[in-house]
Amino acid sequence: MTHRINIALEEGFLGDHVRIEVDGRLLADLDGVSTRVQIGLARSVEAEIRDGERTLMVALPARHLAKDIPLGSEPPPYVGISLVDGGQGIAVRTGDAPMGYA
Amino acid sequence: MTPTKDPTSAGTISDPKPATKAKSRPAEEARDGLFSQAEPDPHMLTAFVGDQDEQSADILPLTPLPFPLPLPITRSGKYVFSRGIVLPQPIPIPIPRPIPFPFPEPPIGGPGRADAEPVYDDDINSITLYQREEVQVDIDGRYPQMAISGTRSGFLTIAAHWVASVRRTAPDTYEGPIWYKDGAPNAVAHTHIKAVVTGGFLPSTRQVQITFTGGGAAAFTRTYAFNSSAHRSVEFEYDRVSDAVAVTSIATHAHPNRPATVASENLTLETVYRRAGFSVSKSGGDTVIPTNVSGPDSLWTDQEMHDAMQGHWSRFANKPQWSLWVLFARLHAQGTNLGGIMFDDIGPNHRQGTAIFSDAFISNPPAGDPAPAAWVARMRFWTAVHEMGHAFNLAHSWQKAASPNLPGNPWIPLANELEARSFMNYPYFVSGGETAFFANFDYRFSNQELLFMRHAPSRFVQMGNEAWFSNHGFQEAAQHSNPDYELRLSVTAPGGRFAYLVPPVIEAALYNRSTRQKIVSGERLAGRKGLTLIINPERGEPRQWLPHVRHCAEDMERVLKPGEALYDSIMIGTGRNGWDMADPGRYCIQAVLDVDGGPVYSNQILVTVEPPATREEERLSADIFTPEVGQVLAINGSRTMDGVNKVLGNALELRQNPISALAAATLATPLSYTFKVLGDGGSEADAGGAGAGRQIEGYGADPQAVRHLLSHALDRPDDLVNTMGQTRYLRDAPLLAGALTQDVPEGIEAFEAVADRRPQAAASVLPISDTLQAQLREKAAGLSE
Repeated sequence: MTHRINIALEEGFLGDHVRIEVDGRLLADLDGVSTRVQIGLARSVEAEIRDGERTLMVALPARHLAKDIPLGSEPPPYVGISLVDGGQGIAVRTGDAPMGYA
Repeated sequence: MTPTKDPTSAGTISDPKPATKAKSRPAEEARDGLFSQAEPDPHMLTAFVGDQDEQSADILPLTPLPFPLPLPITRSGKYVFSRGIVLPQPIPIPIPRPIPFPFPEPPIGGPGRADAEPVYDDDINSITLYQREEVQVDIDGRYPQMAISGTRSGFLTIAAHWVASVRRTAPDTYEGPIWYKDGAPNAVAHTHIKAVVTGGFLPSTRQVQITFTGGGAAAFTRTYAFNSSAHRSVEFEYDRVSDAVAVTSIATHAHPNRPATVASENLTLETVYRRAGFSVSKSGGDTVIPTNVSGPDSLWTDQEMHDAMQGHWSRFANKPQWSLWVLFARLHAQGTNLGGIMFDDIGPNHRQGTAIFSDAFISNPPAGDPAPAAWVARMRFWTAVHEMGHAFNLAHSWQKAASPNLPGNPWIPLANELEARSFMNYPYFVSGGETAFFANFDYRFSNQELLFMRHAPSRFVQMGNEAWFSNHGFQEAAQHSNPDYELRLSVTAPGGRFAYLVPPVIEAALYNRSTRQKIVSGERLAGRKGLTLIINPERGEPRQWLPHVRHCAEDMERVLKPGEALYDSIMIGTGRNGWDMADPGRYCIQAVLDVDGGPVYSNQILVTVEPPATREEERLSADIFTPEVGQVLAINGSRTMDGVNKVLGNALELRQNPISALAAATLATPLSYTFKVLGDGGSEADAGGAGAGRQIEGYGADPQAVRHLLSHALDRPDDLVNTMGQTRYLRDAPLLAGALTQDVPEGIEAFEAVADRRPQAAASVLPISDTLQAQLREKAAGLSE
């Protein structure tokens, strides 16, 4: 069984290289990720999480940043990732409803 | 296909209904510290306002009236001055303008003016630089920002722009500092204004007389005639794709979740922007764009919308203009998660077009909502105002502050407004979510946003002019900081606010953010040659802070384990340049430190210096803000500068101001140990030439005086520590502790760096809180020397 997940790269991205993995399995490897500040969103990635996969990992290798996001047995369908603290940290929000932007 | 005129249809595009007269309501309350209170004017007249235009009615405050009287008058708006040269006919030669002469009246107060200085009737400092000036007076009416700004222009170009913060100092009189200048520096030489606003219910009777002083320039007074109760003008045009729903107005009481203070009205998009200070008109040409495309092809891309704007907008032109196109469409190609977008960051002229997507998530009310149709209408309306706000170059509430991770810059240092009840915040981002947002939302912009829209240089706001997100704020910061380190600046003052007279202190920490041990210089951060610290005031040019003292010492190395830091306090309020932060207002601070041959950029912090709270503070300011006092405060005191010590003694009396505690500590420290003074040797000096008889004299510690001085700070010990700077307090604590226990240290021991003694000494000198003790303990281990 798989779970569909939407991963939104939101605020703070400025031409970044971003890798997204789940339990070591590559989900996305994106270059040139930049936030469109008028909507607070850079890129969205749709992915499938397999049963038993528990940890989502988002990494920005050039910034030496990475964050593990525990998914639990019922992964949240929507995950929002932002860079904070002037690009020194990663913040995560999750939800059951689609994230809205305007 | 030819677009057709849209007949009036409910809830969609139609000629906007005339704005309803403002109804009585209680004065606005300050909320989350983001909105200023409307200042009631006891001299506000009530009279028939038949001559008030619709614009005026939209911007009037909703103050409670005991019985239905006509609306009160406001005098905010645009006033103009034009310097014309009248040529008598038929003589063809120009008549030179008379040289301005000073008024015979007594001189008017203001900073930097001597009592006998004359006041001219024109700006002799820059008389050739501009011929026309518009001022925006913003002192009453709806959401007054207590600001006055001016734009000075020549025949073809704008010469300069200035903004002043004002407060009412007498009936009809408003005074304050000019804190922002843009353009030719010598076109706005002054630093202070005094404005007298007069006139009654007839607009033609209104005028404002402004006296400009300060800045070392010749003072002058100028009279401006009323031009408009709006600050700026803008026009909107709405087009709707035939498969979309447009919401250009809502009934504010249709949804039960709302503040009790929101008036019941049919609120239009135009009214929202009128209340922000604009004269709003429709450019006409509202159309319905038929579509025969369905399915995925009916979704809109940014390029398609940009093309549609060029084809359907009656005002389209590749040039800046106060005109905006709004498209109501069904969905963006991105999908239902995009409720709207200011799509026009394409091409040379940004921000001319926006779009709202009626079938996006904004059309899905939450389950159980008591009024789902009203919820949807409100969200669509909010989205429309929000996207239009981006066209005015407004950023989201959480994007205001400059950051190395943002591509553009704010026009002045701005603070993020995460809880703002503003059109520019996402309702679902605040604490408590969308329900909490709308329970407290007055259908308005924040004060920061209103200040920008009304008073920023027009090119920053005007559609098609400044690029999107540029000068919504700040300098672009595309630096690449050494990722192994973090230079973190912080302030301990609550809210980053410092009382007047107190030199702001920031706490600096250099963290090892790598995964390996690092060997770094242990030199004091504040005194390093490799430190560049910039103070960027709202009301002036950025300047570099220069320390009074640099320590030259044998290289001391320190080992920093991962996560450990070196600490220092930096008294940025005073430096070799003088008092960089004497003026009330906001300042943005950032630093860069050279570490391992590479730059480490700090975060940016916003610091506010409060205006004087009492007349005593104003009176003492001239004595405090001298280079000598700044020097003595920075170097922990002096035994010989009697004049400075007398001023500090006077400061002790201002018990409600933290300067009192700082003065106490500065006076106490040199009394804590044997202090060497180069004396003149008395009679032996008389006998010889220069230098004869001079000798070092030692003055012993005076523990009793130390105890007496520190008693001034005992009621708020944490405040004293934070006002001094935490690391400075740590360094001085052993001296003060020794004096208090009469165990006066001598010689080198007085200054020995003993990290483990400092926390104990710090805690014993003053009864500081446990929280502060813990902070000091951590810093004691990482003091830069």
